[in-house]
Amino acid sequence: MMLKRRILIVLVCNLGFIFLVQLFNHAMTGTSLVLFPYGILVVFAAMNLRFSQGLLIAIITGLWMEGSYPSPFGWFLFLMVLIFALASRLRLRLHRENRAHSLFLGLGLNTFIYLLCCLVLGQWLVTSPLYWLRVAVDLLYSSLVIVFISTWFLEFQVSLLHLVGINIYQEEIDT
Amino acid sequence: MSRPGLNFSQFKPFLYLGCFLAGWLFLPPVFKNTLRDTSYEFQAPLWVGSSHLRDVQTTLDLRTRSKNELIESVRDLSRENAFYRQERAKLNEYQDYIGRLEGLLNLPSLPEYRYEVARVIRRDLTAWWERLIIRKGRDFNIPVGAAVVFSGGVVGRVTKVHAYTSDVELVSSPLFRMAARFENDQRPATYQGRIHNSFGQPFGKVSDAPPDIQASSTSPITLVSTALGGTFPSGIPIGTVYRLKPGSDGLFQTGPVVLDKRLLTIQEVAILIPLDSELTPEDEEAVSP
Repeated sequence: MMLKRRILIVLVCNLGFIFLVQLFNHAMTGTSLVLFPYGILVVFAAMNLRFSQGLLIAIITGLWMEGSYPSPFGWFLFLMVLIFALASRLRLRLHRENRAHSLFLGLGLNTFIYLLCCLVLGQWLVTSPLYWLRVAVDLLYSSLVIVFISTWFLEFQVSLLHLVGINIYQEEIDT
Repeated sequence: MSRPGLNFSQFKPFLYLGCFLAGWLFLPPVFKNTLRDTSYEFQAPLWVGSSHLRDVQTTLDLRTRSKNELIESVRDLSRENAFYRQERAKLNEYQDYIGRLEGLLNLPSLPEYRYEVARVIRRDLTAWWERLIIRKGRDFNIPVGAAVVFSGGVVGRVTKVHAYTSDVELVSSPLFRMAARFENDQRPATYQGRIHNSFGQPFGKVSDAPPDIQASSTSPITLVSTALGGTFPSGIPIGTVYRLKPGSDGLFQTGPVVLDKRLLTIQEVAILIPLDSELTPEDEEAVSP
């Protein structure tokens, strides 16, 4: 039961986060700035949950993103599973209690998937300098937003789990 | 023999990733399409709900306005209504005249459209695609490929129709392409959307423009739609061209097209549904097995 609850809570946080980001982007279209902070979606699951639980969350989060974007089907699903695998591999070298580690992991993963998206989804635009200028501005903007919100987002998930009686920091995780 | 320090469990995430990818590749396309549609339709009510909430917000905001403000708005609107009534009378006359000429000259009649007004529930303008999601779909018989317009001109084209919503590809999207012509000139040209800068105005590019057409910042020309593509009626403004230069072939000209900035914050659009493409209930019965 506790197992299901923690998956559900992290999943709802992820889906809510995606919805809020899309709502924010909808409101900001007048500036043509696009927020893309999806790299931090797998950080909590990779650092604090079991591999199978985190993988399930990454798959459902990816599927949710598939429905919201007109990318080739499977692209965001693949990205989510890929960065989850990377984060799971890196978690042995990082301290989950240290928010700076989570922040740098989130920033790194986000930059990685954003650049992958730029190369794959905008492959016919890669020769245009204007495209890379816009990519640079959006990446900088997204990274700044991640710096400001990642700690809040991760602590929010910890607090929600705490509310249902799960103290994530006192648990041994299966590495 | 494995090297010291090299543990197989370190590679477990990538092994799972490989298995997952292999499994995904072998999934039948029908299953993938169903999964995608389900995922979309599952979250569509969230967007429709948030759009209704915004409408309620607007209504509540309007209620806080003073009566004097409302009276002034009604007065302005009634003046505009009077003007548009006169214009409609003129339009009816012109349509009768066109009908008589078509009868006299045995010309095929111009395509007619039904306007379906829809609220925009989400604007998704990234560097890779620019699209709108509108609050009408199969429930209003919106066809794929239908033209979408607003008070400033062309908005785009319907690319996908869902149960209660539809996707519209914006005219500024790099994927959008259409036949166009210049105002007061019947020769065709090609319009294509272009990626625009952050904080910048949306724009596109016109190519295959006739060599004798001149545009400058003091005398810009308007690019309008043409009926050649079959999607848009003729004469709907696309954007303004301030300069043209010879293209790479030397025969035609190319130049940037500045689009209406309101496209980036658009709230409501009208979908043009060709009347001859619509199925009557009798037709639908005949088509269904």
